[in-house]
Amino acid sequence: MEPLILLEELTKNYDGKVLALNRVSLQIYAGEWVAVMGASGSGKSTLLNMIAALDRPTSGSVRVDGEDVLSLSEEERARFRREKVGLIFQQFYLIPYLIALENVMLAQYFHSMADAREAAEALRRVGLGERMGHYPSELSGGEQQRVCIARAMINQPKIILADEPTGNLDAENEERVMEIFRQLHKAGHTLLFVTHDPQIGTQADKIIKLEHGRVLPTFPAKALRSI
Amino acid sequence: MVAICAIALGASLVVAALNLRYGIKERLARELRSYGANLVLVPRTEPFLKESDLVILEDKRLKDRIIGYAPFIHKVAKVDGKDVVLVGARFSQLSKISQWWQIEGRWPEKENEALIGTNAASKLGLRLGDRFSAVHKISQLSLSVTGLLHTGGAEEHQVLVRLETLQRLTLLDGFLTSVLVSSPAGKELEETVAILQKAWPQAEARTLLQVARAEEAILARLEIFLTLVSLLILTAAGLSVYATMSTAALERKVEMALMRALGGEERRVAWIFASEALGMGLIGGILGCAAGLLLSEIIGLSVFGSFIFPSLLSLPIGLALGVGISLFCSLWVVRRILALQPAVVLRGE
Repeated sequence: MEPLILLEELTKNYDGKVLALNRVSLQIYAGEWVAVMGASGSGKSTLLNMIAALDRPTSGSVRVDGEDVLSLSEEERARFRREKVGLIFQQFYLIPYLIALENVMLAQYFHSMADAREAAEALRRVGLGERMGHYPSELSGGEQQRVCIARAMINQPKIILADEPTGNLDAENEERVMEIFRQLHKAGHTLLFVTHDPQIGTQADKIIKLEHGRVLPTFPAKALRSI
Repeated sequence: MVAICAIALGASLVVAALNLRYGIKERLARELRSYGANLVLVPRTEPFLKESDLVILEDKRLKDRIIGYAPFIHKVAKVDGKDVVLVGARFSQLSKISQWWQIEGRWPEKENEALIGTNAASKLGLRLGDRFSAVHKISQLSLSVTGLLHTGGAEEHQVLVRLETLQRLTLLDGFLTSVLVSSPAGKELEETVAILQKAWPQAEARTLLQVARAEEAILARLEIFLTLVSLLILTAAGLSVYATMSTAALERKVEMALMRALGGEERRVAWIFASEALGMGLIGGILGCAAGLLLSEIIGLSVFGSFIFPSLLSLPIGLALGVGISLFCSLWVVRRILALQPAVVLRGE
């Protein structure tokens, strides 16, 4: 089976001074839940940005769903992001002057056509049926992250990329968000998480550990859970 | 909101400056006219002009070009055995073109009243309220002094009476020796002279060059000054709007990066921000134009005591400033941000 995400010798060097990724190669298959773990500055977010076509590597190759991401023009990279990737951020990045429903519709607007009914249904699925008319400032951190998940899911992307999705949440909200991710995984979605929290990381099928921009030997999360 | 206020403020200053540039020049040209006539009409070949021909000056081609005029008749008469120049004038018209004259007492109102130049009064030993007789050939006229005249000019040596009074004394009913005319300075004055020459062939129109040239020089300098001030305000307002709009656009760079991360194409994201800038520019521009008009009228009213006719050019310029600078700043900043990779902006760099 061909991997959904294939990275080969991926290197990212910032201004020739900071080596964020050092010849990283890895494969992720459709339906897998993968956690990328490591200390701060190990290159986790940089790796995620390369896969999401949000940044360009210094060298190496990135193939996602059969597409060579590096050969794409800026317009094609935008098309790639809206069609194939759902992004979830630690800081949520919701537009402050749009209500929850409109924030979800924004992703639809760039994808094809904004549909309020469909966006409302996505918010109901993450338990925000009663909160869709509220502005981000009126929502708790957990609720904002669930809006962010609904926005990431609305265009049914092949891959969900999440950068520290529970990093700003308390224990209760962290569990609610993780429950949504478990459901998404059960439904067959491919999930790639960046986290430094072992408790979150061990819920994945596979853990990729990064250290100073290099991948340490990959092992199934089951092995870590059993220790 | 701050951006709209900045645009409105910038546009209002520009509109006010442009309105004042045109308005002040026109008002000042009219104000200068109150400091004396700049044209004199004298008989071309005949010894006198006909009073009945004054209707020519009321013709609609000339009416708009003439701010005021005053017909005169001049004759030398004897007062107390001394020669004095008697001037017959219509005081209601004369007062309009001689607003700078200083009168101790009042303008004559009745037939036997006279206004005496200060030098003439001193030569004849006359004071306010005194009575005296003026003799011309076999006719005699009894007059009383209602005012002493200070002009700094030839009028200080003359005795001014009503036009009809002097016409009767000199048996020159219906005749005039000259007409002083006040007309807007500059190019318009030359055109007025040409029209007058055609319309009243019996009269020769002479420009009082000293007055006309001085006015032209003042107005030319004023125009340069106002143009420079307008340009200065235009630049300052433009820079202020530019700074505010650029800051406003920069503050939203995360939004732009997020939209791109969600798959928005550069031109689509740019269009969202450009249309916002367009809207803000329009609202700010319209508010600014209205405020600028109001401001110029307030200034006009406080300086000249009358409203300034708004310059039609100021409105499109004010609106273009609001929309143009707002759109330019927004697109300039948006283009710069969109040129960055979304990850770079979202990382907070």
